[in-house]
Amino acid sequence: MDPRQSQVHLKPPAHAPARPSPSTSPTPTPRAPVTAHPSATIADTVILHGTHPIAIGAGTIVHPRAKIYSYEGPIVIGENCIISEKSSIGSAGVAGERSRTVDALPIRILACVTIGPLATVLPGAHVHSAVTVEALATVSRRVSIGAHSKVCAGCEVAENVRIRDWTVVWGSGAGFGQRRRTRATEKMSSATAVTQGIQALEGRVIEDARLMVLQKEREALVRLIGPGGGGRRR
Amino acid sequence: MSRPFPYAYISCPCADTPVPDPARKRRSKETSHKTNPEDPNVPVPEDYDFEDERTFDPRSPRSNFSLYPPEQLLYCEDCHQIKCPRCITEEIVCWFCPNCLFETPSSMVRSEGNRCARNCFNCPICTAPLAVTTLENVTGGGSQQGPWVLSCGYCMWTTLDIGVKFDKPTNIRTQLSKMTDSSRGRQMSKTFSDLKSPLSTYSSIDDQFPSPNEIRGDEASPINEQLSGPLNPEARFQALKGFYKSQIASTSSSPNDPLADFGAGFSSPGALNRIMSLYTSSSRLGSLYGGTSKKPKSKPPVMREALTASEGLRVPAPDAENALIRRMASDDCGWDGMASLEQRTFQSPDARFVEDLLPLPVLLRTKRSKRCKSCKHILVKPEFKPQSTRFRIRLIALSYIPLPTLKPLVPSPFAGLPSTTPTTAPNLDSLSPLRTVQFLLTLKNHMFDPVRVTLATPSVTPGRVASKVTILCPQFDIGANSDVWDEALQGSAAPGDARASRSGTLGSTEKVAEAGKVWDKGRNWTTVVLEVVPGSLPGGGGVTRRGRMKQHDDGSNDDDDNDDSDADSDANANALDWSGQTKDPNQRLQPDEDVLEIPVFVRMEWDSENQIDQEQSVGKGQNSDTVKRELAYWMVLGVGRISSEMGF
Repeated sequence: MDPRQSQVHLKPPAHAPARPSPSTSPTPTPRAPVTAHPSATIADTVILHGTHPIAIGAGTIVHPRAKIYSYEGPIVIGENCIISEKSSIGSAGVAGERSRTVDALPIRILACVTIGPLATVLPGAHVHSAVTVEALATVSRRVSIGAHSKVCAGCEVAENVRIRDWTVVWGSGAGFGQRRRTRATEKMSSATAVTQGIQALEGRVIEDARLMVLQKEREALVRLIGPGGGGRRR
Repeated sequence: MSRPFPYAYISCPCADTPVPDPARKRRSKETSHKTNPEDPNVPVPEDYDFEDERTFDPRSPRSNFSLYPPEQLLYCEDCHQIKCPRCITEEIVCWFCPNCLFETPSSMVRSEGNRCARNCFNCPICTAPLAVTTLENVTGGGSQQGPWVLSCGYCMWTTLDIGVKFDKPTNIRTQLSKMTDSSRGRQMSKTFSDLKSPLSTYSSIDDQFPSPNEIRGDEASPINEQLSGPLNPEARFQALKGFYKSQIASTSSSPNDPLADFGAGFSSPGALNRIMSLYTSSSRLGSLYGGTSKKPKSKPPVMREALTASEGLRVPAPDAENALIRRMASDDCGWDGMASLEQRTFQSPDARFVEDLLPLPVLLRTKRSKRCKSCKHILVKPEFKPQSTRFRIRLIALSYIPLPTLKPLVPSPFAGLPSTTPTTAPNLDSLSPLRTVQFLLTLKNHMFDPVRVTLATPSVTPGRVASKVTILCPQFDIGANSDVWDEALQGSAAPGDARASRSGTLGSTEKVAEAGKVWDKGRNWTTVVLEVVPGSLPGGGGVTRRGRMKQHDDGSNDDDDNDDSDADSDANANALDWSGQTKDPNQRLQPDEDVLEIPVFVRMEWDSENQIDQEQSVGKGQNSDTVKRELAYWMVLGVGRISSEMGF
């Protein structure tokens, strides 16, 4: 875990299937067949286990010690995502369960998604673009989270739930403490604004600004955990 | 009690020695109440003249009010007394915003309310603090000119959700109140300062009941209403307040009634008279109450309600409620579009939907200084600046009284005891009754003078669950809180010795608690052994029998195994105690009656420097320099919970 000891080579080689296929590896934890775009940044200590293929899109950053398990189905991670430390995508299957591949539950994570530290995304989840899953949140099985939504820290989205676009899931945990809120996308009006005659901006500009910040964050992260990043720090 | 076992509480003496005399009178009344026969279970302390000899009962209802964790107590150096939160007065030193740490003068707090007047806001949706952010990157303008919004980092709410943006990033509260105060819509109007002060409910209640007869009344003219126009809630409240004040003044029967304020007018006995006279003056009721002989009084003038908008009346639109309901039922509102009760608490009473919620300025906080109630000596005085967390004066009790800590003494297997005794620490949440448990009571001195401590405890704890308590060494000395290095420098043997004995609580091989001897002693602390035999619970016999029967049915548990049966018995006890199956109330266990709490009387003596006469006594001898002080108080040691299952 010492960054000085870890190797500088952090990115898988450019040519696809980067990892040896699981059928040949005799180890009890099979390495998943990973297809990563050359511009993706995957830290050294990321765990990529499983039997199904894992695809990681362009510009995506996977932090150290993130866990990606493809035992129950293929995992597709889109472009420009950030997968934070110690988050886990997929479930670490039990050894005997690995053969059960009949009903594969794919995880689809579209573009510009942020998965927070220690967050959990379980198999079958379909996370649309520009979604934020904050720290310690849980996205259960077969959940669909609409675009530009946010699952706030510690919240749990129950199984088979479909969350609409532009929704914020916030509050405490699951169940009654949890609340939802729809974000403003177009020109909103309220009594205050109407009486003032304010020509309000569209709510969407906030999201645009957030995505711009996200882009900058990714650029910085590439320098930090990208190839040579660890070495440059020391 | 709320703390985990074992704990120690200290009883503030203020409960026993009330300062003013009326309290004493009141208390004697209380005792007479207590002695009534319907409640024979309450232990009645018979004689208050011998208060000092009375044993402190941690279970008595009054002791609840005097027991405090040691760290919450203060100490008055003038009175030489422990001071609890009840025997101090507080003064507000300053008001400040916890967000921007700006101090607000108290005059401004009185006029503007206790909320931050600058840029600090909380999210109306989730109460997280809002940040002032610019939109210049998105909208073009590059030089910090762009429109500004408040945005919540947690739930992503922004003021754009209610269609509000700001032109400059400062004085947002004034900008916002300007938007909300001036020309306003009729139903959604609200002000910022109308953030639900407790009195503001008056306005909403009053305009719900405009009596229809009076609307047709005297000077209400539609023209008048048109001219004044609808007021905002704050102005309406002021108008109503002024209106009712004038009404009270004009209808009060006696001119010398102190009717300067609402409260005085209605809480006075005159108001009650007025109400009662309404009943008695009517002929039928008057005869009912035997008032036939009375002269019929003149009917008191009747107060009327507000009639015009200038008086604060607001008539809602006839279909306002229907429109609200229709909006709630519509698809684009739904459950998530409704403002929750928590969100509405601090908003205008009209706010029903999330679009109506306004950002809330942050509530101010206070710094307070504390004074002794009896001698006005300052006990706590914080620094005035909100940024500083330091205190100028802070007389906490723990620097004057020894800190008590309790922990179970684990008997060693080699100390000549039979091998059946468990070597693990006893489970304090289920102590088996009638089995001796030893505890180490450590008192740590924080004064710079050595202290002589005398502990006293009743041999049997008060209450129905009588546990036997013995302090093996009730009188001992505690060293001064001297320099930490003194101990190391005084002798090379001492520290090692202390170290060994301190760790000895875990696995001492040779040490056995002896009566009359201190268990252990350090630089400024002393440990003595407390021997406790937990009493058996009142319903214990029945429970035990039940437990036994169950065990026989199972046929798996042998009686010797104490630790295993603990869990079962706990479940049994709970089932029996709380379900109310026991018919006899005496038999049933009261809540927390199984908690073993030991009252301990602590009396400490020390010689302190005479600080007042120090200048004069320079040339004098040793005796005049020091003053003998003593302090005595009760403390309560919470040892554990007695299980209903007998130990074997």
